[in-house]
Amino acid sequence: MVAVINFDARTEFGFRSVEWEATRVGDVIGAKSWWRAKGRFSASAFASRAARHKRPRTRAIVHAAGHGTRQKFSTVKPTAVTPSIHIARRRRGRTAPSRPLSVGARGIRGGITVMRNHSFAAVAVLGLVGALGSFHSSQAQAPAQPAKPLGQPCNLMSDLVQADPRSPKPAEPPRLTPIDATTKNLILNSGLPCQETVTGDGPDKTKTPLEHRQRGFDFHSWLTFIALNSPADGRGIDQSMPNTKTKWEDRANFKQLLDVMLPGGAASEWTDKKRPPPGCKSQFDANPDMMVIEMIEETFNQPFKTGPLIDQQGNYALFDILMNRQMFDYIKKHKLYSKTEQLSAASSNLRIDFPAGTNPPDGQVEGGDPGGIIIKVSWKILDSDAEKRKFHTVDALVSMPRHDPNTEPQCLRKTLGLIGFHVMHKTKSRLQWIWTSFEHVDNVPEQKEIDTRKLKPSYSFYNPRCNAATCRVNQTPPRPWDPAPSLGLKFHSPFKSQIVRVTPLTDDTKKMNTQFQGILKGTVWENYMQLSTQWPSDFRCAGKQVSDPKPELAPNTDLEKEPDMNCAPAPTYLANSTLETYSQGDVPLASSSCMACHGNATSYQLAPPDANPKTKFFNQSDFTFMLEKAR
Amino acid sequence: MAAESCVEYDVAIVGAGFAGALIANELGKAGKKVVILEAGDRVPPNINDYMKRFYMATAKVPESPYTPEVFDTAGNLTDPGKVNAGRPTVLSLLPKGGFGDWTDPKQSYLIQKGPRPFASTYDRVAGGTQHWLGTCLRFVPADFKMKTNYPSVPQFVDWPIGYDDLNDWYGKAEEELGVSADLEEQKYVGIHFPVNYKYPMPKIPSSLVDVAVADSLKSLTEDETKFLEMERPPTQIRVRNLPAARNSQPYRNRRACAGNTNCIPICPIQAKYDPTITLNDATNTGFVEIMDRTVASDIVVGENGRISQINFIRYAGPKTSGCVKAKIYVIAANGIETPRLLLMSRNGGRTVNGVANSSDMVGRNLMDHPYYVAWGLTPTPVYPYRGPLITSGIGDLCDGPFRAKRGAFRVDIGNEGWNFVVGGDPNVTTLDFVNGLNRSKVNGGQEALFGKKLVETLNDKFTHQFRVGFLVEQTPDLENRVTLSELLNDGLGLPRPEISYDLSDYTRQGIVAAYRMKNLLFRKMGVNEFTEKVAKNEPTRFDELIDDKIVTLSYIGAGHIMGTCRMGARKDNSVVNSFQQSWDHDNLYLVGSSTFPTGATANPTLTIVALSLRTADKILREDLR
Amino acid sequence: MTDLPHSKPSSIAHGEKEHEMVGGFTRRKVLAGAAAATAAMSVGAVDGSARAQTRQDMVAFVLLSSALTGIAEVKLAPGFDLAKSEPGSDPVDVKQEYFNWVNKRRPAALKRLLQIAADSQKLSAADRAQAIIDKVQATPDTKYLARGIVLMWYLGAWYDPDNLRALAELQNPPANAFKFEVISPKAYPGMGFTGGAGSPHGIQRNAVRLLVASAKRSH
Repeated sequence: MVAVINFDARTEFGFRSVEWEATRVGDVIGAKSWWRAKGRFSASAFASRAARHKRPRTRAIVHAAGHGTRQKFSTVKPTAVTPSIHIARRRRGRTAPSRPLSVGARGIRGGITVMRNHSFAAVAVLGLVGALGSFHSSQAQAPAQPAKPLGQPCNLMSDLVQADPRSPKPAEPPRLTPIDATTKNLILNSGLPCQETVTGDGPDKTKTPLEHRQRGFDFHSWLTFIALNSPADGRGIDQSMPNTKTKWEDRANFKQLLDVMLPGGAASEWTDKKRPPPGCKSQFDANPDMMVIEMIEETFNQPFKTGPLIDQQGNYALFDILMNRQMFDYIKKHKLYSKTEQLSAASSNLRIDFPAGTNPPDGQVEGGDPGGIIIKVSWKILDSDAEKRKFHTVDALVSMPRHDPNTEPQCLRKTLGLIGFHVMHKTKSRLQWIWTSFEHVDNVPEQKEIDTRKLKPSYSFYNPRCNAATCRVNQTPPRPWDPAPSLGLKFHSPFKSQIVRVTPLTDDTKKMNTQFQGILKGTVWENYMQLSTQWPSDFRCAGKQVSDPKPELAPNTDLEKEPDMNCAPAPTYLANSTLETYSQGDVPLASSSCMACHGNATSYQLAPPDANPKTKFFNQSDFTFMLEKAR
Repeated sequence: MAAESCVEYDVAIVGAGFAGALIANELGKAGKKVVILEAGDRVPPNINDYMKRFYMATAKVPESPYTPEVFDTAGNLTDPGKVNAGRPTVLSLLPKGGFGDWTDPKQSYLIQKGPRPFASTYDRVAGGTQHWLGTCLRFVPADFKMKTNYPSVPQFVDWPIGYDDLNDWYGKAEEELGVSADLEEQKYVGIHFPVNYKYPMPKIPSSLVDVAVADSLKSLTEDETKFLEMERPPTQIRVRNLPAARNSQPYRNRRACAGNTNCIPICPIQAKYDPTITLNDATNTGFVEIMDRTVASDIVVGENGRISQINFIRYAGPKTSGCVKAKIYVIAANGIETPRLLLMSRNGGRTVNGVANSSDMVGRNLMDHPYYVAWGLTPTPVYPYRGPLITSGIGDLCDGPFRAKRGAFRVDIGNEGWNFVVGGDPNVTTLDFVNGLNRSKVNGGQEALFGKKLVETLNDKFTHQFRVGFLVEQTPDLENRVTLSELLNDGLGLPRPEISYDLSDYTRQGIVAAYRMKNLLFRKMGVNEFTEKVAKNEPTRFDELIDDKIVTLSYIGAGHIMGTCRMGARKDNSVVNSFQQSWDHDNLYLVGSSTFPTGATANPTLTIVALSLRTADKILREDLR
Repeated sequence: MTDLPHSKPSSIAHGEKEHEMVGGFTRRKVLAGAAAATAAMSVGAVDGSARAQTRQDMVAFVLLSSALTGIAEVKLAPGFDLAKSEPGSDPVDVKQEYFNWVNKRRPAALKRLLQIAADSQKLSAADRAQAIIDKVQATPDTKYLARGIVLMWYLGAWYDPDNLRALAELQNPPANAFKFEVISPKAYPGMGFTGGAGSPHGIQRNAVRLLVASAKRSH
């Protein structure tokens, strides 16, 4: 169903034309604040505000209401701007004649609502005047696809700082429940943060500085999650369907690890087309948009061979790793995709130092960069349609592990549901990276929920009807673990993983999750929650560069003031029940902690051949295990 | 045990340690059905429990992370008579009459008959003695031919194979474990490699302590070194990095060493190889099963002289009995438990001296590497605790004309300050300076300090702490042996091992040479020695006349238990052939360091693995074709 | 280390201090010590004889610990700021664990030690440590508890003050006077305040590094 809206806007900037094609219910054309009333609206409030802000970019929000109730809304970048508004209505596929609206200097009169149920199409357009005017000066010709890479411009929001630093209002956390449209739009559409903005302060004076910062980081992570999972075609996340391709699934934004660490250590370009495994070629050629997962050990066996995860339907969970452009460029520049190159003398003096995210200079909007981002995801095989509605899904080709040197492995077409999502993001002020993890809400229960019998009817990785004696908790499956070729992605034994979350989410995190889930209500993303964000909390090391000049060594000490690899991670431990299933806990060094474990990641680099034996040499790979996957 | 109720496999292995795991894996990869009977607990899904037990242990002994528990709930040493699958602990090697009395069967699992304590211990869990350091040295060629090379020493025998028989198998062992070493550096005292051979990973960098030791031994006079009685008195003694099963790079999905200095007893990030890795690979083939908490109690010999089944007791839950039938049986239970099982299996009197024992050698020739340790403070800081527990050593002194008269030694350069000595630093030294004591002997003034003075003093001590260890070659002596106790049993009612142990003169002279070497080293380094004077009631003490003075020395155990089922060329004076196959029973293999006829000075593990792989290959090629 | 994206370079400086908001925002002061002191924080499971811990108690505990161990406050309690009466907050928070432990076992002597530390707050940093060291040694119960606290920080282990006294004063102390308890897995590695980053054998490696570092950094 399509609504085509053309605007004629007479503004202090002159006539401008705006035309947007709203292709979905909830397509947004317009600006931030709006006034909803069935069948009518007033844009005056917005118009004056927009004029005041002189924002270079604007959007109108198409407010979709079904039978008078609001369903959802999101934003879309307009394709063109025309001054007159014509609303095309469709009734069950037929296009009705359009009806022009005039846009006066002070706004648009008239209300139109696009109905989800297709009984009639209408568009509620929000005040556009000042916005339209200023809009002209920017991407008047902007296509529906995002022209700029992820993180351009940087999302400057923080939970204590208003996006507009010039506002005289004191900083307050945005009110997320109930949420006003401006805030909601900001939350959902400001894009990817490049660098964190946190402070050890906040309105709740009983909290410690650590807790305040934790809240700031958790907020930062939600913005990151939203930005990465927003539709790849540039629309807002509130317009997404469960199977809408996300930004990170778009190969223009993120590449899978195996597409960078190629056989033979071959080089590649970012823009190279995806080359699927031969067994998948025919299916892929028919649908080049599909995700392709080539199974290696790490695709089904958690790090350091800790074990596969089998869902309650007996399917393997699948894992994948992706990197953004900035990571790729650094790897390419230093030839780290090749094991031979890593081992070569040329690499021996390289201290791995991936690009770090920075916000733009003071007061500016442009000039920042998100820096290096790595994602790790876990997927569940979805067989039933009911499940497909509750998960973000992707149509995927899964190339099974090679069993026989002579035959191509099977290529299975599956619908995959997102169950776990790790993001690691390096920033200039947090050089030990910022680590966050999200899960689907139906993955596993917490121990407390089991103890108080407050269980859901079903989970992906826990059977509420099986007692602890019969279904021992958090045990690895019986070996062998490798998928059997004849069984595809079904585990060979009746075993199902019975997993419990060992470390519960904090109350603060749960509270924030509820708020964000409320904002995302109506999309599949309301079924996701953040576990926590781990961040380096020791100021003395968080911003120290590998390339900083080394201070003079104090006499009688050879203490090298390296950037402290671990830098007091807060919280100390963090584990995703689908990605670090079997190392959950709080035993130092043994239990899962993003930074404590990744701090031990190394490359294949060797000391320079002529090195003085007393010189120290490090082959730390800047917190990523990706480099050891070079072939 | 009724034969019909036995479980059946192609191969039954007793013991899930290095030898058992590796053989099981080779057989499983070839599609053979294997069961491993493991007396202890199973492989856990993660090491959280091991680490927690280790952290909370007040005595960080090698056994401390692993079950069975070292202490009972009352704080006493667990009574071995009540433990289902017990094992020795270093805490029960202490003087008579007190805590850890080495002669008290209520504290010591081994019934020690003396005259001296056998000072080594082992673990009894899936993964075997995984508290090992990780050192993976090859034997030098001379080590295999001790009788030929040194006929004047009556105890020595030759191995039935030589270095060249094992060269390729050493390479496979190094690949399997993931050994990091520098090839050129390892070519000493005859060690050679196939053309184009490469170690799996480059060596772990030397520690600062290593460099300090190496520097001090760079220019020596012949006068100083003539006591060694090498071919020529060396004017330089090289320090070489130890090849170790410790990742210097990512290897087989395991992380690289991060310098946690905790190899013994457990690497918190599993950068050090341990057999649970191979056990997991083995079970992953789909052909290998592990029965944990299953103690083999009886090897049954059939009418034709072949082994017909092995009986076992399970204590996973209420105690049950069972049995296994297989085509091939492999006993891989370590140098004490393997002979114990063989001796226990009397077959109603048909094998009254035990199974596989026509030579009467089962249990005899028990060897260790008696370990002589000394410590002191270096003149300038050496900054210990950076990197693995031990990174380098001196191996060049392990062979020479002296070996006709005294045992050889190998030197371990400790990288962990005085952690191994003085009762466990830094606790002891810290307590000394906080509470005005002097157990470490560095607080002569018995100062009790606070604040900045305390920091500076401790700083000054810890950065200068150095300890050195010497593994000494022990002769195979017939009367050093494992027998069965007639009175004392374990928790399953099985007779506990009795140990008779002494140090021959040859061995003691090896320790004397080590003592002299220590003196040379400390003098060249300028180390202020603090090695404790041996207490009068120390059970391992012995006196020697050295340069006209009586010196009291003592030893500890290196954890290397060898010799008790030795291999040889003839069945009348050995238990197994070079493939570790019993002379008496064709379908029985006895593997592990119990088959070593002589012990040399190298840590046994790499040789255990090489021999195991060679045995597995033989089993596949011939027995299970 | 600036929290905020638009701070001026000069305010980034040495990175030891947390930065207040700059730029267009209202300058806000972190809570004044007075307000903070009245905010009571409960300590967790304690027996009846222990009283609830206040923020000031923790500040005193950190001052006390630093003076006795010779290690800078900010190393024992990252984020510690005496001027703001901020006891510091770090993810491991081993100071809280130690405080609870001692408070449960020797509440009266601890109280006296905290008073000594609190009384010395007004002294200059240079004089404070020595003043505390001198005063704690006045009576045996404070003296040996002080030693026990030092051993907790260095070794993650609790040596009962009565045992310490026996060892120090008796000719033939009983054998079990050398007994100690490991406080927790969290306390054991690396003196705890490096976020568990120390080796499990632990303090050894970090002890060396941190001792050297703190010795060179006079406080």
